[in-house]
Amino acid sequence: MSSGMDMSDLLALFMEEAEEQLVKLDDGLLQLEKDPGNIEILKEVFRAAHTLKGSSGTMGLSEIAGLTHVMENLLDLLRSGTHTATPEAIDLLLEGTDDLRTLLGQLSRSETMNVDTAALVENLRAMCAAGSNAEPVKIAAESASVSSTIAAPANGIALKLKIADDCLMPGVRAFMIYNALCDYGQVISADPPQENIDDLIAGQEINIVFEPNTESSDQSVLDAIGRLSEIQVLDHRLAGEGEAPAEPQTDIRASDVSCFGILMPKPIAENGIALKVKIAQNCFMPGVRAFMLYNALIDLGQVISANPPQDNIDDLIAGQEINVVFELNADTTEQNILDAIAGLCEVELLEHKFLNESEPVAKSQCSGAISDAPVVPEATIAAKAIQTVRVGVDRLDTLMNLVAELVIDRTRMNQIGNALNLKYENEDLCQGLNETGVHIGRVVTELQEHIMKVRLLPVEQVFSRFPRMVRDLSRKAGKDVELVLEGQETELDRSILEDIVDPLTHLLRNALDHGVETSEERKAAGKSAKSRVILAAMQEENRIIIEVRDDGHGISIEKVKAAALKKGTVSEETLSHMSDEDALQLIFASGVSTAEKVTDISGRGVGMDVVRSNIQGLSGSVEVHTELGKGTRFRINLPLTLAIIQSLVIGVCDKVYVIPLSAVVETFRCRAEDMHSIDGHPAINFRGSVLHLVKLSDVFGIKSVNGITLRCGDVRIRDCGRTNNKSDSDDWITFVVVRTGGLKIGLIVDRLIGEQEVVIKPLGAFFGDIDGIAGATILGDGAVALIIDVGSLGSIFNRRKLERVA
Amino acid sequence: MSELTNQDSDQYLTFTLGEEGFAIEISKIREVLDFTDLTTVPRTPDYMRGVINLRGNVVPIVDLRLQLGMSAVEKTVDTCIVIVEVDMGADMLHVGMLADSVQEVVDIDHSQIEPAPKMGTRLNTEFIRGMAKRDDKFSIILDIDKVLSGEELAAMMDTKEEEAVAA
Repeated sequence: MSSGMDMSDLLALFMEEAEEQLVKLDDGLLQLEKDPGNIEILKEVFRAAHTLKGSSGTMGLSEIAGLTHVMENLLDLLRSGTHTATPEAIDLLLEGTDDLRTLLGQLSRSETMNVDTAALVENLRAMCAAGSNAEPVKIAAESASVSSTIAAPANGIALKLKIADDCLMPGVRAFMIYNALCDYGQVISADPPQENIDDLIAGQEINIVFEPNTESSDQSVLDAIGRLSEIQVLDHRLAGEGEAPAEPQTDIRASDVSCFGILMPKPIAENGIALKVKIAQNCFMPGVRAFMLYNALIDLGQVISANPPQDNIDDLIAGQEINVVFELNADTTEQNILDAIAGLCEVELLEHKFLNESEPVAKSQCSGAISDAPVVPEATIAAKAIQTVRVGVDRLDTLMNLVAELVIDRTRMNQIGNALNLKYENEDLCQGLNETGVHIGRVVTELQEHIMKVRLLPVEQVFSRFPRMVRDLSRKAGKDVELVLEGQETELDRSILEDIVDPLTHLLRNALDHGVETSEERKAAGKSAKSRVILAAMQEENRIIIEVRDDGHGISIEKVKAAALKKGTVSEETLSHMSDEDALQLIFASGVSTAEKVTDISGRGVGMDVVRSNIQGLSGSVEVHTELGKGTRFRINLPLTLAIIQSLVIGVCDKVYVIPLSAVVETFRCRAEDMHSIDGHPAINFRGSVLHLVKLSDVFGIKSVNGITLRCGDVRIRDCGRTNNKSDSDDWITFVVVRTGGLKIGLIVDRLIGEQEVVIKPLGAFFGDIDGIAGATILGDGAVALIIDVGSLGSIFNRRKLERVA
Repeated sequence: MSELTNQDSDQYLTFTLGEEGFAIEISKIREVLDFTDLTTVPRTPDYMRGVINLRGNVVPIVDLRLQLGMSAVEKTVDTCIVIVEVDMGADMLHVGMLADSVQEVVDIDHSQIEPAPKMGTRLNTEFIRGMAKRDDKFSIILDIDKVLSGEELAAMMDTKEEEAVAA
């Protein structure tokens, strides 16, 4: 029915949704563990499992659907209060999410799914069974009611249908069957049951007992099903005449009809109920949700009218409200309906009122409330519905490039405008052109800013995976640890987010394993038994700070020193000169570990160096602070984004370069005669200390072009000390003080052009790594400017210095 | 359009460097641009003339004359930048080459192509896929992937290192 492309698109969509639901499951289960009775969390978790089951079922992923099905069953029991959320139950469910994750992983790598879930499924079933024993009466009653309704139809038809073997979405086909049937009458029973529609697999047979409306002929029913593709009617016959129909007697009430203001095909029954439900704002497939709603209701009675009409189900949009007037079966209770609707994910019951004559006041109120609630104007609904859109980063990059193109064209337009102005001085049109140019410029700048911001994602995406890890590890280590997440809404560039996972994992593992103590040790030290590990993110100017803090016993500096000595990382002499703060940073050196024993969590001394190199790779830094007995704090300082940097634009000869502002300390101007030469190297006395100066034109071998001598420090620096006969302005030397490692150097430039936010573009594999150049960027006028890599510039400087000394 | 289906010939873009005619398979060519201002990249070999902004992408420009061991020439009105797609391992890179003038796109029959002479050319024969005889002139068909990648890149890196040390 569909090409391979369609299927892979669907699969990608499914994977994304499944990943989201898994995160919800994990989160919810962990919260549940702390707060077992919380019905809200249970509902959330149940909904996640249910959605996952539904979507995997429709995708035909029977293994995932099967596992989620039993998980859902157990969650349903927990939700209904039949069973309490014991740690064992949570463990089983978490184990389930792990298996699901593995299955999804295999699926995404197009491997065959070979996780053995049989034992887990069995365990989950056993736990469900243990729970359901608590209410044998209810189940017996339910089954009794089912058997009675099966025998009931007066003019029923028994249908035996088969879903095509190659059907991609058996669940959807089944939906369509029930949907087609509900126009002609009422489904009385179905095997497999109608609510298990999601578990259907391609090629399965469905037996349905169906009671047509009086006006529907058997043939019209068969025709309706015949029109559905991928469905085959295997057999049909009239069911034997049985007992009197269980259908409740109906009673016409004209007042009810009019008060609802909806054309009612059928009179309202004595036990009618008015429902007002809302489809979730972020619902992907509102039509399907509505299907499921009607589907759930069919079992409990009959829908009398609906607004929007039931036929227009496909036109529903996310966030829309649906008003349904519904006639309950005799054996349906209010609670049944509430449960049925609560069991649907992404459908929320806003209001429900009985339309009972004995409560005329309540009735009129309710009908008033419901019918008065205006159908939200379409425009507002549409605006509400579009809340998130998934967009590939490559698309954003393309957008970014296109905006840059616009910027260039705008500049050209300005130039043409200026030229025209000169030519036709008093022409209004020129003025108009210029104004338009300025406006376009403003719009484009804003556009650029917005696209830059779109690349940012909240750190929550990364943080959300840690509670689970901390729980597992702290259990393993026998410690009572509470993980506190702060500042989850802080936004970071997507690429940084991905790369920060490993360092944070390391730091958290360390905190758990070495940082915090066991409850006994803590009590002995006079601390609370439960230890806290805090993972916090915050924005400080245009940097993001992520902290990992624990309230454990801290790091012993003496131990760090000893370990570093033993490993030979530092000599005893250097160590003796080191401040405690500096010595502490030795834990980032390779092979240094203060852990007395190696566990499978950590302690091998690798890790911290990886942490530091990873973070430095993101142009970030990491520091550690510790207080013995009080705890340890790791502070990671990261740029907001790797793609865009604040920069200082400078000119050297006729070339324009860009220096990352993060490396710039300050800019300064001094007179040429203030320069000294140290070891043949220019330097000045800068605020009381020696500052080495480097001429960018020297380092980059920039020569003045076309024989024009540009005013640069070039010639004069070598002449420094000599008297200079040039004009005063020529005596000034401008330099930018930059920080590289612990070193400060002054870069002599010719012009300071200004501060600008620039987009970093790689120079590409063709150039490889060039010392002193970190990449390129495109300036507003379309010219390419190179970005100076201050770090490697520092090493060039050091190398030269060594050469000169030698 | 019948040429497209004709397996006996391929389309080539011909251009000149000095007196000599060259040809590159049209499938490797992305576009031809007028000469624009280049941003030179310091600490790179001479034949790396710099980079340009090609619709928001930074594209390196190679002086093909220098790369092929010919002498550099001042740019003229005819000087063009030919953007080619170069296969560098996993990635397809866009690289611009400076050509003294770009001529035309021609069909060259396979039978017209002769193997590269083993001697008698100033060029490294590694770079030459063959010689195409058209009318009375020869066009040198360049293996542009070889010219702009592989060992050349490695060699370039070495040069850079030497330069760095020398500096």
